[in-house]
Amino acid sequence: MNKNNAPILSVKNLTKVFKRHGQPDFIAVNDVSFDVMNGECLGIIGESGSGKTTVANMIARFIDATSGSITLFGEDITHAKGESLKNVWRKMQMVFQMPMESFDPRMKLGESIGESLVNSGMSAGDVKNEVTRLLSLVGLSAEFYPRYPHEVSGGQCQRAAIARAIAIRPAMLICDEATSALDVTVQSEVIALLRRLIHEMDMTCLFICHDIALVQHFCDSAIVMQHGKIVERGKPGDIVRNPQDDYTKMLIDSVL
Amino acid sequence: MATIETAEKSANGANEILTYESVDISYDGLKVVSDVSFALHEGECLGIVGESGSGKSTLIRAAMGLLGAGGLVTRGDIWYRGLDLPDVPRDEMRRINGEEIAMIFQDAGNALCPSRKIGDQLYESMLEHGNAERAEFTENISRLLERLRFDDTDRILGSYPFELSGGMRQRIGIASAMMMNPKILLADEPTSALDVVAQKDVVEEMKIIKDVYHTSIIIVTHNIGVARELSDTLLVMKDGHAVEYGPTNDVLTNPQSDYTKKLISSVIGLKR
Repeated sequence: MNKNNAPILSVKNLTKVFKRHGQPDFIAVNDVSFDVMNGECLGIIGESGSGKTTVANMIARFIDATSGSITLFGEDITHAKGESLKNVWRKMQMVFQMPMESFDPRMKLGESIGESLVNSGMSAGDVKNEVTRLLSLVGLSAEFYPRYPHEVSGGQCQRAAIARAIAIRPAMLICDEATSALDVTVQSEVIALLRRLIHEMDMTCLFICHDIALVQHFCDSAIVMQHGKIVERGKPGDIVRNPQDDYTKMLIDSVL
Repeated sequence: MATIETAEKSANGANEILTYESVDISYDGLKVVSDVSFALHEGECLGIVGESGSGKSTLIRAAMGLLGAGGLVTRGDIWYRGLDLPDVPRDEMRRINGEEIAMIFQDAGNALCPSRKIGDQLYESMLEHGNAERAEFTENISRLLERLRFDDTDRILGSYPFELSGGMRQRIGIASAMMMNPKILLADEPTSALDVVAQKDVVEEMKIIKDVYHTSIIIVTHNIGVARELSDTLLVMKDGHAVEYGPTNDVLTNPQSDYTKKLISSVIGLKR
């Protein structure tokens, strides 16, 4: 496969319908298609309830798609399960909005970060060394290895979550509102960290964010979602300066 | 650092309604706010910005007597109409809270009972502060909601909290704080849990409160954009200390302290 021309991730006509008891079906994601090319960082923008996270959850295979297809490195992963799903997660990892809640509260940060390495068959000694290296890569000292999630700040915890995501050197990183719960000063540090790691490790990124300013700052291209549909796509700078869709205009006007 | 005098000037000589004088606050003996002084004037909106753990929420909770079991104002005074709030007896505080000084939190929606309709809940909180006929209440609350530019007030009052969006619940929380027409509204991160569109709606609602009801407002936020949009004066907190205080425009365009400079430079703005 030619890495430069074929998309790393290809989403075609993806749809998610939630059945609701006694109420009409809810179409959370409606016929969404996009490609993410090698090394590209694609932003998905939209307000709460627009379907951004549902798209991410379908791609990460946390939930099943109702229809449509998801292709990663040319392989159809729409219905991946068992061993093939484990393979998907070796190539694709996720960073979530709430760092504390994304960790097992009873596991030390170092153990959580090293879990995927242990599962991949690395020896205990090597895991320890690698976790220490990963911690320093995200700007945390080795002192954080034995700490529990509740013993560190939100920003430190998110750095640890990034270390955990990159531990098995995935080719693709999905960030779902990864910096939304952080203070501005911490947010700008974490964004700088993500940018450096994506560049150094040659990762492709899907960056889900309701903050259009952040997407403009961070992403190469962007799509705007409303009510489960894509209403606009293009370079973030073009979208901000010359929005075509009324909803996008409203979104931009709302930024203070 | 700009002094209280500069801030007074910015408020066009209006009277001070809430004054913090050299306030220290400790939790279980650990000092979390240190020597903070500022004044809120009638009709003024004061923004308090800073990152998590800087003591900004603690500051306004102290005025409400909401520091919790371990928290104590260990030095200084918080003056409201001749009363030193930390020394006011509990019963008197219960009357002041809500009627004269109201507070809204980051997730006001969580403060609503999930199994009862909005209108019933708001009526109940009204009864806590005196008698009101249901018909009169409905008329008053409808007028308030209309002024705050809610569409379809009947539907909202007849809804359960889960039937409304997070942004709408937050706006209802703010409206309920305004039911008693308080002199001071303390807002603790009222937009932080919301997306940009809902955030804008909440900011617009707070503007109406300021312009139409002339309520004095303190808004605690880590969002510089929200502070810029709403506040006349700005107090920057860092590790429990006030590092800068002055008219919002001056602080944001010509920050004096290194921390304020860092805070402003961290904001990732939209390049239009």
